[in-house]
Amino acid sequence: MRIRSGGPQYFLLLGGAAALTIISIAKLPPPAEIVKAPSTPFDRNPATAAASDYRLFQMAAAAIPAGATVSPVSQPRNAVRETSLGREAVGLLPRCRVLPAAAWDTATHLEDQAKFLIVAGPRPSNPPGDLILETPEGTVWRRRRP
Amino acid sequence: MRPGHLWLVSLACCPLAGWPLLAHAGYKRFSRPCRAGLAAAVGSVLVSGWMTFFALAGIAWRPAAIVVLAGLTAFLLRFLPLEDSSEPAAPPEFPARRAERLAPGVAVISVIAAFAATASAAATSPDLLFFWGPKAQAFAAARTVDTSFLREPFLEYMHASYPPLVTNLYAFASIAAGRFAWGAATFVFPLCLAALASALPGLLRTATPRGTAWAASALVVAAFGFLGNEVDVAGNGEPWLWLFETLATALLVGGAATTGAGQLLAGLLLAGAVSTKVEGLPFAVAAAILFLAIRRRELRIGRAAGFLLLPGVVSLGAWFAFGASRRLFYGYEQYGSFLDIHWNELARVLSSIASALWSAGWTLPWLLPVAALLAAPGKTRLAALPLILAAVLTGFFVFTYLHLPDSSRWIEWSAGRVFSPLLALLAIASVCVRQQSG
Repeated sequence: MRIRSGGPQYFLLLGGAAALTIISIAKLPPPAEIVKAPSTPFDRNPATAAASDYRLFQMAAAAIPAGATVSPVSQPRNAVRETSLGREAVGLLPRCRVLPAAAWDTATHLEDQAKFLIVAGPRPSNPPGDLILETPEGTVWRRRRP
Repeated sequence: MRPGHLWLVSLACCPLAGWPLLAHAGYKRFSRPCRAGLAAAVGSVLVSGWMTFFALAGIAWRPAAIVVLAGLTAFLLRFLPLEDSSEPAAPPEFPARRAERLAPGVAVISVIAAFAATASAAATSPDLLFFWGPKAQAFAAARTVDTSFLREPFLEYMHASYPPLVTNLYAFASIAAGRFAWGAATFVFPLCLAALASALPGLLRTATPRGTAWAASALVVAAFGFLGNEVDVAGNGEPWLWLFETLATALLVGGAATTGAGQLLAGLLLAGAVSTKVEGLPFAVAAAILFLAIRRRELRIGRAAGFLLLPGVVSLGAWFAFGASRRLFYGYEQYGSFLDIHWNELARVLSSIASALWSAGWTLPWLLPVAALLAAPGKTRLAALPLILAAVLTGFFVFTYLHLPDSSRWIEWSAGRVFSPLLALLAIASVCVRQQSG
């Protein structure tokens, strides 16, 4: 049997593959940016907060002692945002016990029981404790009375 | 070696564990690259399967022991009745023409593009951070499936009953590397794509002439590579599901599926699908039933059913036995009552799905295989297998979405991903044609 590799089906299969590959390449960032390692795995994620949250939690993980209770909150306070922060913290603070300030977009008020607070966003006007870390993405506080 | 590199390198244990089976004479009809890709898929299933058995038995995970047992299992599977006197001879090959040689080149470039997209953090799935990563990290720390972690009331969104393959393998790599490596986990997307690009042409070659097999493979790989970046799959379950479902379907429509070796391989790939994501279960059940029905005249039904279904039954059975023995789960969680369906939402669900697929590359990844299918001359009845499978999956997803009073947002961020395997099914259907001379 002789191989037949022509006709509209073959053109659509191969032409389609080539077209999708070209679009994929066109959507890539410039080569210099690909070679340079991103600061987080979420640098180009459509969820704009993902990369900054990742950086904040990575820095916080180094500043908070293992086994401590920690609660991430947003500034200004927002239960939807704090639900995401709580979920991110579970993954990025594996040595801490995360008490989410919100779950399923509803406030839990568990942050009142946490020894450490991670505040994503601007520094709160009313300090919730002793500042132990400040980054462009947020601050980390040790509460005086958990 | 840095932890991220070690994390990725440790996954090489999967093809090593699967190779003893793929080295069997029953698989010699496939090229070495094809068998290497298949060994990676089979080895992943066996490694994950043994991790589930260890968890069920209350034995702490030890990577070396798990790899040895997985490799030994692959070796022992060789003693099953895999060879078949009715096994068709490998088709004759002629030197590839220039146009044919373009297809593997396009597939390789697609895989490289997927590597580049992943390396630039453009394809990372948010679910890696919310779901897959934290579970794997906790399981690696506990060296088993950590039931106390899964019982945490605020971690209900992690779905305790979700199939274990992805979290098992990520935990395996994390134990080997000493920690979970977030960046490295995203590279599973191009690695699965590379395994698929390696294995798919050889499998499709048993169903269709070489030029068509290579071109169809190139389209599947390019479409997954494109879509993986568009809908952000790096680090989540989709790349694994693409590997298992695409290879299983390609195998089931090809010449090798009438042999014991082919059926066992398909069964292991279907076991991979059911162990990866919830939708792998309806896929595997439908695939096995369709195969037994459509190709019944070519098969010894009892043996074929055993080879196809037993690996999945054992894999999922061990997982559900683990859940039941720990009183953690007794089946998959449901979105509301099974028959509590919001039929009045059907139009909105369908339009939301269409909108989600349109935003994932103007629906091109699905339209191109459909066009190739329509253009294919003389389709055989085997094309019904992937087409009905696509219909079953579509029905399953629509049925699931109809369980919420308004699932628009859910569809918006999930439909592009969950409908992605359909593009491979459509492309495989397009190659199920009567082979022509000339």
